[in-house]
Amino acid sequence: MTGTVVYKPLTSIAPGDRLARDLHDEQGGVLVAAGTLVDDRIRRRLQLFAVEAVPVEGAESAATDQGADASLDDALNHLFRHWRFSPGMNNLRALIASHRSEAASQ
Amino acid sequence: MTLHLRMDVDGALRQLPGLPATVSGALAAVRNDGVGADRLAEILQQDPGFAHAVLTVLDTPFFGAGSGESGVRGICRSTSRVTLERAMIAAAVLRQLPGGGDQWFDRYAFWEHSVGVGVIARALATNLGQDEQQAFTAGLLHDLGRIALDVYFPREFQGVVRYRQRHDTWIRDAEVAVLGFDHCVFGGSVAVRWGLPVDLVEAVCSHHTPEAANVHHDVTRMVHLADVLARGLQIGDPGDDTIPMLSQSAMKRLGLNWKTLRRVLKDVDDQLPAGHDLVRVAIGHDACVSA
Repeated sequence: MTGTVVYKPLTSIAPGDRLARDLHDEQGGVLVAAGTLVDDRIRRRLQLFAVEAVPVEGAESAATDQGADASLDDALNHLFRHWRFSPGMNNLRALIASHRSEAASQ
Repeated sequence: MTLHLRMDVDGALRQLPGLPATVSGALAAVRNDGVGADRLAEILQQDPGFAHAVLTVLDTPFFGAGSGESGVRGICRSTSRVTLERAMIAAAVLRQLPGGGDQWFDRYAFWEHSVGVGVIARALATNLGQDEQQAFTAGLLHDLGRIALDVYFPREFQGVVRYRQRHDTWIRDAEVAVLGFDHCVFGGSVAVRWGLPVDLVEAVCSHHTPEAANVHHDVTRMVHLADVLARGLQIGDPGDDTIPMLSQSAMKRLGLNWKTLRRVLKDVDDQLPAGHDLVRVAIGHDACVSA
């Protein structure tokens, strides 16, 4: 893994995108493990669980970008520390991460 | 050892000061259609500090800045009563519960969070074609109970903050554990005591449990969503560093989805600077005066 995490809507997943972290179901079980390639089968499965965006490994970028992404990831890990197993909160986290990441890059 | 400082809401309310008579008088006047604009301006000018605070709030994009009018009389003549009332309420509470404070709770950061919730709630209202001023005011005042606890019951509130830090809980759970009630219950009672309209009372009371609102469901749902989003964007500091559970039922009932929320957040980015300006002027100014 490159260390860079990018939140992408399921509809924007490209061939070769690989999950950056485990996705869990309501019971805390691993739905799809980190490192899995998000192919059509995985995408359909995630849609069944109402997942709308997923963290995927980003391409290598400048060190500053990596640092900013890691810092945002740390901040969100802390904010969402009580909600690791909730699909709804995972979607919220993806929305926040995507928005903050875009805002930081502008 | 955990410090328990059980309080009785009714007893606490008896110790709580009311709004200044000049402010209550101005609020009564603005709600009375029999009071003309010029008379309303006279009443408002009896408290120049409050009149200035109202003009400051009205001079933001959230209340239609740029009407071209200046001065209390001109504003009273040209602004709708509903807008004037909302601006008066916002100004009254900002003055009653100002910045400054103590080392365990940053009131300036608290108001930054609150105005952030107001800005997001307003953006949601715009998207949904609902009342923007109502949404902004409700968002701004949603944590009224928490700031009132810090200002009027600092010893008890310090116990809440210490409990939260020790147990890494959501601050609302810490309030219940230490005081026996949360800021929603207390804030709702304060809002009633200060004569705030029922839609604001409900938003204050039920922003963490939007399904419990009795009449004004949508504004309560918008404030709930805005609070969760503002925490995610880390706008200001509500008093803890965690995110309450998002009610997806509230989202669905408002007809919102993640795609729409993504769009709303883009609008919010453009409006946040005006929100920060309001806090700087309203809270920063008061803090300097009282120092």
